[in-house]
Amino acid sequence: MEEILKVDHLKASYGNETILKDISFGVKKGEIRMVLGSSGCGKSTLLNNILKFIKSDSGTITYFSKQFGPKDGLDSETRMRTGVLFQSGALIADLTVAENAMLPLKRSMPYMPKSQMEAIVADRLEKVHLLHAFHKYPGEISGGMKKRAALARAIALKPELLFCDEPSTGLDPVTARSLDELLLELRDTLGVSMVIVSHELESIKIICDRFVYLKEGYVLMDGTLQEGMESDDPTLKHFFSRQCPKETYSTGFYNFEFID
Amino acid sequence: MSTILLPETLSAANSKVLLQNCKKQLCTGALTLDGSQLKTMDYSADAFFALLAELAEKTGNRLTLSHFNEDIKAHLKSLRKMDPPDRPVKGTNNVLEMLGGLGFSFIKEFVEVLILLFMSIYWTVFGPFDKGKIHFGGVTKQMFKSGSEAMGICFLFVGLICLTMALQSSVMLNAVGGGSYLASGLGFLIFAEIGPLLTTIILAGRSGSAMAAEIANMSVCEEVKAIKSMAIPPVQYLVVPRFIALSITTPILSFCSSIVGSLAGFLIAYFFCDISFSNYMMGIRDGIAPITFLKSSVKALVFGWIVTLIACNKGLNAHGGAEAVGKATTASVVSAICSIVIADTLFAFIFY
Ligand SMILES: Nc1ncnc2c1ncn2[C@@H]1O[C@H](COP(=O)(O)OP(=O)(O)O)[C@@H](O)[C@H]1O
Ligand SMILES: [Mg+2]
Repeated sequence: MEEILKVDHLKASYGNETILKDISFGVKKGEIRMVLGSSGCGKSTLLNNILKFIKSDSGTITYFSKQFGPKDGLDSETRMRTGVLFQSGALIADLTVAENAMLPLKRSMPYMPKSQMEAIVADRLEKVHLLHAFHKYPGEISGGMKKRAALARAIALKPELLFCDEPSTGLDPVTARSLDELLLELRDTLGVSMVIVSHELESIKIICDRFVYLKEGYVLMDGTLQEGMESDDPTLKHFFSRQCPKETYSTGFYNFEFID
Repeated sequence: MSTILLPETLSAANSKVLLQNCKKQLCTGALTLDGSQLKTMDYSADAFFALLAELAEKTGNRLTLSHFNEDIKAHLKSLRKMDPPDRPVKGTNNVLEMLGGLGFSFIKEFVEVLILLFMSIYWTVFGPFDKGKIHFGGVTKQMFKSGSEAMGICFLFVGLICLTMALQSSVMLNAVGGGSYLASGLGFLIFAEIGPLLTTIILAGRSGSAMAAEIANMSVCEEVKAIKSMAIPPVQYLVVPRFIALSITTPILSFCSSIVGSLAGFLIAYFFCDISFSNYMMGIRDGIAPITFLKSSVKALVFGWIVTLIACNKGLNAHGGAEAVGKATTASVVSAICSIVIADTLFAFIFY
């Protein structure tokens, strides 16, 4: 099947600290591709580089068979074909939930009457079960609602590719589960391909098709969920079985001299 | 060889004095700590014993712990010696390099602000004709925020300062018998200099800081990225409405403040120099060439741009946490005021 996103030998750093050394993977149409790894291993950095919010050192990204170099920015067309759900939601604070979700519509169809756009927004908010917060400001809703509102904004233009940074982190189990269901539904009804960063094992087991596991700036493993769970690699074993390795201490102890 | 008996509980409350005694002993000779009474200890005990162990190692004097119960023994045996990692070397201590870096960042910022200026002008002029145009409104809101709401404080400041200036000049002018020249001199000074300068300095502190804080907060909270992700140029969405708003309000505000200032000057002229209102107005008219109004409007406009663009640039460049917002705000006010004063000096040489 065709790949709608391809990351090729991506290298990225902050200052002179290289975070991503050599990352390559692809995303096929209609698949949920997860980016896994321990916290601080550079998953958000990877998304920021793929989405070209920051410049990479080297490597290319190919969106819908259009190639972008390490210092390029994305063009508007590609941006409008992709949606992003940020880790914190990133709703614009002085716009209501509906106005937030309406921004992409205003951008792409400025000629559309407001009533029509409101109807579309209402549909998207209904999808994320948030119709009742239509006129609320981001400051007036809870964290989980913010994330769902941000998802409504991300899918406003029915994107072909959706990026999510830790969608279910910080949500209660029920909301997290409903968000997972929602993502699956989007994939099934709209055929959206997704790149999802997560470390919630529960949700990985439900939604993951294929994953890449990042470690120390490299791709440790690239494969299906099944392959990952059966892997012999100790890091992956620990990750999927939710264990932590026995600590080995490298430092010495104080030598107290005891007498009785 | 001395022995110190440890109390029943060793806690942060009593370990200070004990530690001083033990250190004193250990510096002069071997020390035995008698733990036969010791039953409980808190977090401070770890540091207490570790410090003594290190001191013993350093001085070469022997430290022995006698009659400790098994639990505490086991705990102390598992006490690990951690070395924090070295602090990464940041920046440089070389004065020349530091000056160079400072100069570089100054030039970089100057260029960034210039680019922002051209982009703002571009979007202001061509934005309405752009195919994917977006009228995000916002201009009226920004005009209200940085125009109408700033009126009170601008009028108060400019009025009072002009009043003071008029009073002091009137004393001087009266002494040499030139009280009747007060109006023309004062009028020129207020409209050409005090009005635009003071108004925009107040705007930098009042509206510039608000803009920097607002935009910096959006940068820190990924909102700027979100705007980018929707294919909306952040400059168009965040900077242009503020740019247009201040381009309109600053000259008006500066002109109105100048009027308030000259009215304040009239009070002094009337009461201290016996100048009637009509004479005062005539004096102002004689003192100011019509072109001066244009010049001062241009000055106010440019100063308004300086305030807006520096604030927006600092805001867009902020990254990190809440402290980055504070930093951006402070930096924007400081550099805006400096730039305004420098630009004012340049204008003085160009215009007059
Ligand atoms: N703006 C930044 N400047 C410098 N270092 C950063 C910045 N953002 C993240 N890092 C570093 O990059 C590494 C990866 O961060 P991140 O991608 O946020 O991790 P995560 O996988 O948890 O999302 C971390 O070690 C972090 O310290
Ligand atoms: Mg992250």
